[in-house]
Amino acid sequence: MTFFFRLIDVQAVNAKEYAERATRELTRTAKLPAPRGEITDRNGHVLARSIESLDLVVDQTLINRPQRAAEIVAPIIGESTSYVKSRLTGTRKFVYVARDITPAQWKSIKAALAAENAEVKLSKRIGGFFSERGFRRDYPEKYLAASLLGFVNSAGVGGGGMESSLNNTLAGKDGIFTYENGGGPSIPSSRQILIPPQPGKSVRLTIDRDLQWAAEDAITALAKETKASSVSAVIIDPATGEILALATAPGFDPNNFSQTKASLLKIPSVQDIYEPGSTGKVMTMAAALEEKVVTPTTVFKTPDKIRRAGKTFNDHDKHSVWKLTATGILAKSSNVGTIKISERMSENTLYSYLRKFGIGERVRLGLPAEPAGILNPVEKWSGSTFPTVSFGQSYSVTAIQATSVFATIANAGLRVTPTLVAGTSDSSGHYTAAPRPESQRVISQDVARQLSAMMESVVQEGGTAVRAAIPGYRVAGKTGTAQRYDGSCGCYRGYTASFIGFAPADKPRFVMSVTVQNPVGIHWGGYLGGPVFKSVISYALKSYRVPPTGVELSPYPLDKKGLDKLNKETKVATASAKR
Amino acid sequence: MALAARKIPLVKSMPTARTPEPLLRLVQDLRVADGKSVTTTAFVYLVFGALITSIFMVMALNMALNQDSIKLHRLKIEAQAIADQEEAITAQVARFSSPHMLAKRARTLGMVPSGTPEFLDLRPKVSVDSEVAVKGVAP
Repeated sequence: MTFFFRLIDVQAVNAKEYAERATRELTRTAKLPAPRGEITDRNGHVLARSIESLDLVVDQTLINRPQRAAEIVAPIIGESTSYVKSRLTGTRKFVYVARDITPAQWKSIKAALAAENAEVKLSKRIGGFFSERGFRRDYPEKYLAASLLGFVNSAGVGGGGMESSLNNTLAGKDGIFTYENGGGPSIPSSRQILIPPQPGKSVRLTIDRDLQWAAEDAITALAKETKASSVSAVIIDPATGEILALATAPGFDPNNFSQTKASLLKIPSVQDIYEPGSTGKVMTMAAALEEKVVTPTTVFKTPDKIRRAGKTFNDHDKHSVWKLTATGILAKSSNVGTIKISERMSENTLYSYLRKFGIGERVRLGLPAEPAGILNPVEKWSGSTFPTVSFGQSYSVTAIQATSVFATIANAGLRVTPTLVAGTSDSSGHYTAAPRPESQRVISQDVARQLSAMMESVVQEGGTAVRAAIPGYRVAGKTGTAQRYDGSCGCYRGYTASFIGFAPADKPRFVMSVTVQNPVGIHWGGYLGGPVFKSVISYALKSYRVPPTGVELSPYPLDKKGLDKLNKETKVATASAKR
Repeated sequence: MALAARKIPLVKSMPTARTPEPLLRLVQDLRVADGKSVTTTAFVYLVFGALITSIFMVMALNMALNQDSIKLHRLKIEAQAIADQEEAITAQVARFSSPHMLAKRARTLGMVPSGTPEFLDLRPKVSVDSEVAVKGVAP
């Protein structure tokens, strides 16, 4: 009779409740994590990817001999027994013991526990160990482009660099798996509902892995040698604005970012601003040439100091009064000469050219915390600001902005906005190219060619960056050595040494900047940055199979003496031609 | 059945004397040739036999189905293990083929970075850049 009433209760009176309870107890829902998309270089080499991982998890309530369990598991996962024991002891039902163990390790743990359990009574058997599948971010190239790529935190969210700025694109949508189980894995042939995860999109960068490595290798050595706080290098294809390398030293291993100093996680070439110093002189020269207030051979009397607005401005070295051409002023990097050139224009004219070159405007690479730099409007300039701005101080730029200025000159005066993302691919492999970057004419083609030829004198005998010359190729560039503003003391302390150049100068393929912050000892931009430029761009020219154009440079004279000599030779040549 | 039903009287006259009531039947009592009636035991055995056979067949089918399902489950685990292995190997290959590792390995093997290349301008038949090359072709 009891059985009968119970049957009626179960099957009719409370049937719905019992059915729901059974379903609840039998059915489990698991989250299926979606893998993040890959980040690759321009040639498809994987720089960051998600790989499946196993996490070792325990239900502490099921561990009845934690000491013995820890003794068995600890050597397999490479942790101390005391640590493992601390993870096994307690009343929590879900505790991570080890992250990212290999399938072989999990197999060993299961086998070791089974062997142990076979020898003891049922009541003393060790249970409660589970494995949880997920994804972890893997950076197979380790240090390569680490600051640019950033990292992914334990919650699976991008925490820096491209991982952070492209998080929405890279992150997929998790799936759901509902299944029936008997206190463990799913029951075969039972009812299962699977909503598959949607993987994130893959991002193809404009970076060239090999060039990136060459740049990083060279600047890492330089950073060690100079004990600089940071060294960065940027390589841009001037025609397309594509950034081919964006290197930082010292770097870090994003596979192990949690043990990295916070200061190493940033991207100095994008996030740090500095006063460019003499590399900024090319903008003053470009403005003066475009405004037709000077030519490459206009001669200026150039003493080693000049007084303006109650301040004395000096050249780097003491010298007698030189009679330098505009080209000579650039080659010798004379502050006094540059001030004299700038005085042939108005403050507003110089300011407008700086703006056109992109100074004070965010490049918008899409990376986090990218500053616009500092360029105060003319109304805020003091009497000494104009001469100071002319030789590259009193305003601040990022290394990307500074490199973009040179890329504009290399690209015949057309400024193409630098880009880092070439395109994206969805999980089915459909590739969508990124929109073409915007371009804007800054100076005319003729002026850009003249300026480029003037900049070639910088790497030739008598210039400030002979160490940047590459045999067989024409190279144009400019050195920069500026006093460095130190935010910690609110004063000028240390130097920023830089060299920015491009090659081949008469048919530019690569523009590269090398920026050394706070070097110890020698701090000349040409001395420190020149050799790095030479080694990396030589490698780039070889890798991309760029032959020299074979067209020889007819250099502009650097001073009046050279100009007179050239004029005399021209007269003789003209006379002999008439005869 | 219709023929058998016709033989059964539909209206029964009231008995005059107390006689045993005849057994009501829908079908005529089956009898074999010798006049003995047929028992239902064989039929019951047949039904039970069919039932048990059916149950065993269903069980066998179910077992076969589950066997495949278990096999599929095991194969999935095996496939996962192989996929894990493949992924580990891919990661290893990626690490070994990184420029850093290649450069390290090349250095170990005694290789050095190549120097500046020589380019020959074939029209004037001389090297355009290198003094060494010019000396090399000079008579």
